[in-house]
Amino acid sequence: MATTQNVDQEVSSRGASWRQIVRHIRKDSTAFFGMVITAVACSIAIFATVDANLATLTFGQFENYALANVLPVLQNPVRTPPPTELDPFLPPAFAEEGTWAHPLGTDSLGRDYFSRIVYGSRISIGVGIIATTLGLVAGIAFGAVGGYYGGYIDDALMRFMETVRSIPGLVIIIVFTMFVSGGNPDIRYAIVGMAIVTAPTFARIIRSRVLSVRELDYVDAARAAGVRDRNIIYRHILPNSFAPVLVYSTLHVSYTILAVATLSYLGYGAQAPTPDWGAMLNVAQSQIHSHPWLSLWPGLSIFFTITGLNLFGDGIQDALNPKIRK
Amino acid sequence: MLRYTLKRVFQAGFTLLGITFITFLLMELMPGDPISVIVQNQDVSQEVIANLRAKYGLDRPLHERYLSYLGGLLQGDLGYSFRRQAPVVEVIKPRLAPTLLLVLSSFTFALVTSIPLGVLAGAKRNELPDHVSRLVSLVGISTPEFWVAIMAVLLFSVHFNVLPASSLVYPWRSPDFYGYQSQIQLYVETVRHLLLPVLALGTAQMATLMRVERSSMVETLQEEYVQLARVYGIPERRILRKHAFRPAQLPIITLVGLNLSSALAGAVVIEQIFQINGMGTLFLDAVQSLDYQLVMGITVILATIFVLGVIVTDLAYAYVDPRISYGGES
Repeated sequence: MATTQNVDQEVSSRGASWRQIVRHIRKDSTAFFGMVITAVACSIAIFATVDANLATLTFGQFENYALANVLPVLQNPVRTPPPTELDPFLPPAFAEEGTWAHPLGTDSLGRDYFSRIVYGSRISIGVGIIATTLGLVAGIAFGAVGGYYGGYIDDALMRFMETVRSIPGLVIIIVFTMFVSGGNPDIRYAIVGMAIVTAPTFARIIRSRVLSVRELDYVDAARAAGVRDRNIIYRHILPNSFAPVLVYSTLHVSYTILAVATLSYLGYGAQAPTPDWGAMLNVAQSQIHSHPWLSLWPGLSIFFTITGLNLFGDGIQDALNPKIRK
Repeated sequence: MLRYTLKRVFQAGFTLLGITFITFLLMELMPGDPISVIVQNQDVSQEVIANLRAKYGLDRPLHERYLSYLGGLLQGDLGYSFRRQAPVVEVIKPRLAPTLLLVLSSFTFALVTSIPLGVLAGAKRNELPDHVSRLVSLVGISTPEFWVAIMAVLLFSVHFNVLPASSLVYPWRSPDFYGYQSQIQLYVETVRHLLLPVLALGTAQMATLMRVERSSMVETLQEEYVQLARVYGIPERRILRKHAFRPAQLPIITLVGLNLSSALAGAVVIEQIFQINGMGTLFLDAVQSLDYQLVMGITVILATIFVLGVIVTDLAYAYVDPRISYGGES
């Protein structure tokens, strides 16, 4: 099944241009909706720096923060200045006793939950993109070398990748983050672990492309002209094998975001006080009986981001599928 | 069929060998070793450490240790956990059944819900059932398992207080163990305790299966032989039941095998949330205490379960679609 999928992707991506994808998505309302959500989530992650500092602060730090930032906060009309006293466990604004100074309420340390959610988008989406890119680069390297040289090298690489795939990804990442960090897990280790797990998938896709591109005449010509292998792979084969894996990697970001959220939730990714959505859920779960709101917002944020990415990704895939495209 | 079976089992043997090698290598590459972790915060002389290493054979070269590890594996010995002062096999054994119960129940739930919904959606493409099923699968795919679990607990245990939110009741124990009156009550309680974890773990599985079931059904219904059946005037309902249903299940079979990997990973999370004493919680404990041997043992076991699952689904596929095994023999 997996191979037919690869072939499908291969065949399809040759015929489609970016313009066709855009045209398709404009017509497909759900894909368009997904694109809008994705765009909104990304812009929030990139531009919304409002009170981002507030999100990471704890009790003691707050006074220093207030002193250093009173002016900038007053100058910034976007949000009401934060109250000078920290009020833990405020309910959201629309509930009784809620206040619009904290639209989503505050957490156990009195930190503004809305700021933390906003800042969390930067971490989740950023980490998702970085981890996917790392996995993509590693996968391309392995896949290109294996596909170009073939034979034993290819066999060994592909066997290795297959074996890695048969161990549940989460297990590999947790083991990696825990043991490499010597018992002090951190989001950086989680990113590298994530890349290790995703690389085999990318490697398979790029390899199948390289296998067909390798046989083309211009590659033979380059070889006959005495171009070095490294340059052939780098200059001639990779640029022509890139499209399907690039599309797949955009679809993969949503998977990576989910996985990293799960890791942080279990305590092997981002650590408190980093306002990561998964890590926030980890803390919120222990307060679920008394303050159920705290578990709601990070989960909803993950849900909307992933939904947007999935709808958008489905749209791209449909646009590339010749059966549907016509 | 027999030859195909043997071939697949043989291939699986190779994969398993590779898995043991990679886990062994992975643990080898990690900074420190079991002894250094144990004596981490204690004032122990280098001599004692060297003695300990020699005692457990950690001073021997890499390939020798790997071969002796392999030899142990063949005799069902997964090594010795220094942390727990017990053989790894003994630690893992009681943890297997809860995880299998959880994972298999989730698959049952996912299959029972996704197949009818997927078939209905595929048969009534672009009508109401289709839209509903697409929405359900989109929500299922986009929601993290652990959040489904948290929300389910919030709704059914905290708010309505109708379902228990922690641990499982095992049907193979006697009713007296839990203080139940009868065997029937034991089974009822088993199901009640399983509901929330299965819902959390099974939703994502259901969503992916349903998507594939739908598209497979749509594709099958466009096949020429189905068109021909329509031309003959065979009622749509009969076409669905007699002609289209069975071939449309092929991708599902493969997917169930491949999904086993994500289900096992999901079980790690779900067991932690519901405090189930399975492989998942054991794994997190082992990682938390940097228990090298135990982590290796669990990884090998989980990968073995996955590889076996894939073989079973491959064979089921070959059984349903004879072309596969003939192709394998030629």
